[in-house]
Amino acid sequence: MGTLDTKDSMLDMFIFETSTLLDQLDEIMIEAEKDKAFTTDNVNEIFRIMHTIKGSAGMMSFDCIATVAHKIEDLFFVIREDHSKLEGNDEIFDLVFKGSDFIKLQIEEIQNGNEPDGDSEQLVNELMECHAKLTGKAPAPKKEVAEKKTTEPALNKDDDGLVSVRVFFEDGCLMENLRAFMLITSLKEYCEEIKYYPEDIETNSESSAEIVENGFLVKFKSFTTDKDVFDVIQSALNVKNFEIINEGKKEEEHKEEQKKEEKQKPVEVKKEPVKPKTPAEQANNTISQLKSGSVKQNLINVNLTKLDQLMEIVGEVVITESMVSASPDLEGLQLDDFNKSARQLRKLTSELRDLVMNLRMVPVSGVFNKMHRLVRDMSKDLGKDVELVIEGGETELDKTIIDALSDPLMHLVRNSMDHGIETIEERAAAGKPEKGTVILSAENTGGEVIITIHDNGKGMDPQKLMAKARENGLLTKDEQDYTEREILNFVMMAGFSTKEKVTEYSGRGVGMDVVKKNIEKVGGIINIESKVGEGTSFIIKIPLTLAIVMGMKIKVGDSVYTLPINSMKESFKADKGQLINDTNGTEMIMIRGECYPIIRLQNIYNVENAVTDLQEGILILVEADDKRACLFTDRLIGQQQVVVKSMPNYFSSYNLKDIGISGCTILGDGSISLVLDVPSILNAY
Amino acid sequence: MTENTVTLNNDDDLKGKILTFNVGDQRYGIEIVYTIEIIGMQHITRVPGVPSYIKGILNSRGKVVPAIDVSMKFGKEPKPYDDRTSIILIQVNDLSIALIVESIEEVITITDENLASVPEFSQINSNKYVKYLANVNNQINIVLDCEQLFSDAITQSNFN
Repeated sequence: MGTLDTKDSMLDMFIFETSTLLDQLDEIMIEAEKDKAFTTDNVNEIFRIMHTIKGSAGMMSFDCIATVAHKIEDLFFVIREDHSKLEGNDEIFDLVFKGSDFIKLQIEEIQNGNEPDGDSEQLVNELMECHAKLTGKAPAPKKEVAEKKTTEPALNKDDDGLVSVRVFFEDGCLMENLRAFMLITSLKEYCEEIKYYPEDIETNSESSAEIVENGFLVKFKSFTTDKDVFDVIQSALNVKNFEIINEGKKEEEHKEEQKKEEKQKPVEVKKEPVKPKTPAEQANNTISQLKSGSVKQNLINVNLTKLDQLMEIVGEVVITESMVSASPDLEGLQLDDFNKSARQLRKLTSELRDLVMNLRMVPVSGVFNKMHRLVRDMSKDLGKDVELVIEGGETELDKTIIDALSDPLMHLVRNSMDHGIETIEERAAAGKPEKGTVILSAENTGGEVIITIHDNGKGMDPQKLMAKARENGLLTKDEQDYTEREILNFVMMAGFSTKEKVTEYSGRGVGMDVVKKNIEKVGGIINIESKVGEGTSFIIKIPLTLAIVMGMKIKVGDSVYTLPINSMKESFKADKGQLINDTNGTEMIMIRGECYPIIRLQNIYNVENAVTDLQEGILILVEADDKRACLFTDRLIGQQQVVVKSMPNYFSSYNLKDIGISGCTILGDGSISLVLDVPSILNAY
Repeated sequence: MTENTVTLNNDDDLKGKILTFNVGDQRYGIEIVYTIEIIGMQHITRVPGVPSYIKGILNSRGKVVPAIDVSMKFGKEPKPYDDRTSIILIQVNDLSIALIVESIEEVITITDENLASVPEFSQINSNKYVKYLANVNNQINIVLDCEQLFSDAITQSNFN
């Protein structure tokens, strides 16, 4: 059974591979269902997928998964032989989806550390019935499924001419199933033919219980004499005793009986050679099959922690390269050769950094495609006709961000399906085409990636939203003071939900605020646009790289802060005429007819020795979301690409992000500069 | 003592060894197992929005480490930094912290004979941070519990 390490990594591998295969299966099935037909390639793919899952699940002793996979494999074996079998058998699609869901559920259990012990019986029966329907045969003998039940296996009967013995192992010796297997292996040398019950000793540890209770039944025909076989049995490890049940018949009768039997139980006999396949052989099959599948994509799986380490080191290299090139030791020296090499080094470091950042980038299509299944299932359940359109799937995002977005995206699509798109009747009544559309799109604008979920459903009514907010006491200011955008954003407040009843999918009012939080966790923002009767759009903006940003170094007193260029609109020196104070005494500045509040960094961060005269320092117009303001600083030092490090964990309880500090960076001279987060500053001040 | 590196060998060597330093007229100590390095005073970048005893952050070989002024943490009057002021880099579990102390004294070895019980201090503040007291060469050393010092950094959220 290997050490704990091997078991764990085998398990990880199993989970990963099976999940990937199931995702592929879903994709194929959705396509096929649309066309109501399987291409030859599809059938082969599905067959291969199920075969692989059956093998690996069997190896890991996850029997329920293996059985379901086996049944589906059987089904597609028939279809592979004759595609016409599909006609009039639409339930096949549903069955396969059910099978896929069942296995997915078991995988989840495994991931949670539980045993996959789901009850596959009903599903397996349905699959077998379908199989029978397709092949026109009566379902294969229930013995295959009911190995654990106490139906009389044919082996117990006396008329097959073999010598029957019942072997008992020593009390409490444990793992009787394996000892039985070892016994059979050693007996095989002495027997022309050998049968045994329970049959699944190799794969099913529960057969031990059967063996302990009723003994291990062995029927054989020996090469030499029966006595030899008896001796082997007796001398086998842990065998307590055995009893001879019948002596076997004479040769001729024996042979005739055998022939009859073989005809009657083709499945049984065929199964035997399949089971005792050594684990090594099975592993090889699985691996070669997996290989043939993955060769298509030429990918390699890399442990994420290794990637993280790589990124950290490359980040350090970037900093160190800066420190070397900008070293004060070199100031003023004429070093042509050195400078040339230094430039080359900087260029290469830049390339290295870009490449490494790219390593973690994964196309969003992975997450987007999962939505197909969701849309299909919900369409059926809700009685709506919806088409999912995906645009820009090749757009890439950092893997951690994609993982974090998976749940929010699913929730938003669910929302569109549940609340947005109307039922077929409603749409017809409104003069809209019956088929609703949900568009998932991703777009890279250089500094950020914009993901939009758009539906052409009934849109959100600001009046209704305002009413609901009022009802739930969520209003903090006068109703007229809310902009339309703010009203639409109500749905993302905790405890809001406008759905009258709670469905399986939504309505509890705990979804959208979590979506917002999760998106903000990865540094993104989400906005809502909507037109009543026409549709709704959820727009998510994610900054492209979190770790490396182009920043402007600004001086305030003795401190140097770094401001991300993305948030800067312009910088300038204030003119006396532009400065005004509003009724609260807040300093403001008038630019091109617009008034912006002035935020003095020296004040919010208590910096000493800073420039106080507004006309002496520099004002920077910054923008985030909808808000704009002017930051007052001493002067600008210069632009620099910086690696943003998060603040040490020691500060985690002080909520520095809320006061506008998103992290820190080590400058070329070794000093530390705090990196500012404009949205937080604008929110706080 | 300006720049000094204390290397961690195996725990047995280090058990009972305390690095002592001065805060006002009190002698404090921390167990050597936790110390990584002793360095001279260097530039500390201020961090707004934190208690004043957290002086800010500093750059230690490319790593960003928070810097705590020990005198201020224990409510004493902050002394202006001079050339005796030193920084002790300590590491507790995965957390790295720089302690700013007025001056470093020496490394002493504690045996059972030196140990004194912890009397009731009037300052409630110091109490939970004190691991034990040791009397060496007629000098009372207050040995701090490093893990306590930093566990409240994590739980500080309740105070804010």
